[in-house]
Amino acid sequence: MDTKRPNLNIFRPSEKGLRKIFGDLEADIMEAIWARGPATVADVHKLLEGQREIAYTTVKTVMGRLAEKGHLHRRITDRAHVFTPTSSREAFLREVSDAILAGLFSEFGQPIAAHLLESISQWDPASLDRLERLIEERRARQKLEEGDS
Amino acid sequence: MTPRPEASRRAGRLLGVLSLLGLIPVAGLGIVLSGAGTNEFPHTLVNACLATMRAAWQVTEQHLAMHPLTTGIALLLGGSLAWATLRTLASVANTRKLLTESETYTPGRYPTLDTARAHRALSGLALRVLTSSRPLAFTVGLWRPQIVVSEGIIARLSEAELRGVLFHERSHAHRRDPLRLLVVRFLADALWFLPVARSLARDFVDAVEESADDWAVEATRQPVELASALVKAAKGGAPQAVLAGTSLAGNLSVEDRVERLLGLGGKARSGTTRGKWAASGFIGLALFILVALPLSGQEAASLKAMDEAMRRMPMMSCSVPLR
Repeated sequence: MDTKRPNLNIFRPSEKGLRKIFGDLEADIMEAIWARGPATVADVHKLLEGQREIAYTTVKTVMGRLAEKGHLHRRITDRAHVFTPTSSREAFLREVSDAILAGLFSEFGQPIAAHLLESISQWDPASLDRLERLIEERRARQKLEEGDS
Repeated sequence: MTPRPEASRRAGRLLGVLSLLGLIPVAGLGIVLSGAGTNEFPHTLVNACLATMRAAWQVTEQHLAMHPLTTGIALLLGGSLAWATLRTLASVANTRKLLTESETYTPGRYPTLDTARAHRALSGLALRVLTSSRPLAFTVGLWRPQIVVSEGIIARLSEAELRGVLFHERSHAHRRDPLRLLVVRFLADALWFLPVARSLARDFVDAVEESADDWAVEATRQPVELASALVKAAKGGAPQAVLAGTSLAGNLSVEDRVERLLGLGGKARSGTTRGKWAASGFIGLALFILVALPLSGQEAASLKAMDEAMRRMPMMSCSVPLR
């Protein structure tokens, strides 16, 4: 089974949603498999036939390419190749978004944004734990004061 | 906690000082180009650009022959301005890309956000949601700032914490902080040769953050909730992963901000020292002298003669005469 990380190198900023990463047919195939679950080429071909005129071999080629790119797992059973998505649709979109953000912020001209956290200083987890305890103490004290009043 | 408007005033003062320093490269280039025949009223914008380029080239040639050092400095100042402009343009383009990554907020999908936003002062907020697992919240947009929150931060924070974050970002939007940050980053890039410029820019970032924290606390009266939101966002790993490329980060750490919110001190440590001011003053003065002095004597007369010669040259015209 192919378990390599999905290839997110191709990025089309002007497109919307999945088409930022996939071509038209690739996006339709991924949507079909996410909706249906594990599927063979014949299953996907049958689903897409209702939407567009398309050859079985074209679907087979594109699904093979999606597996090579790491977006689909290919499992060989007795009769056919069964494809399953390597991640859920939501997880995939989040991964794409995170990759795009990381790319944007490491480019020559970083986006101008006023962030909640600007500092890039490496903080000590122990220090954050200490602050968390302080916050909890403060909350507890506030509750007590509210109860008294 | 009482509101502390001095953070906001400090940000304004720092922006002013940086803007004044920004006059150094502009003045330096202005002095070099002053005798180059560009003071004639241009017929068209194209003519003005051509004349400026021609003048700049003539002056560069003239200077290079007479004063290679001065020419080098003029090129350095011009190059710094060009570099800062390029970076600013790229930033604006990337900012637009960042905005297209998010979607306009529609009530109903995120109940915590709906409740946090139910506050009267937040009802008209231009809000967008980003599909990202990282805990992010930022204000973006130069002319019409919009607040962007990620699904990651919505999932991690409580209503009260999220409300504190929204007020913090609302302060950035209200004061047009993205635009001010753009100006500050441009000046810090253009004045890279002055040690004090980057320090002032970092102090500005700190002042802006403190000011936004104060605004949020004043509005919510819940400093503990905002402090908690900061700790949760920090624990979620937002800055290291996403802001690793941000060149203009302040000196104020999360610890400082949380301690400040809890009333335990946590003041920003200014990096703008007297030594940096002295070094910057020396560099600025040296640049000014090296650029201005050669123009004060014989060379000025030579440039004046060149200027006269250029005035007599026919101007290239690309304009269409109006009937």
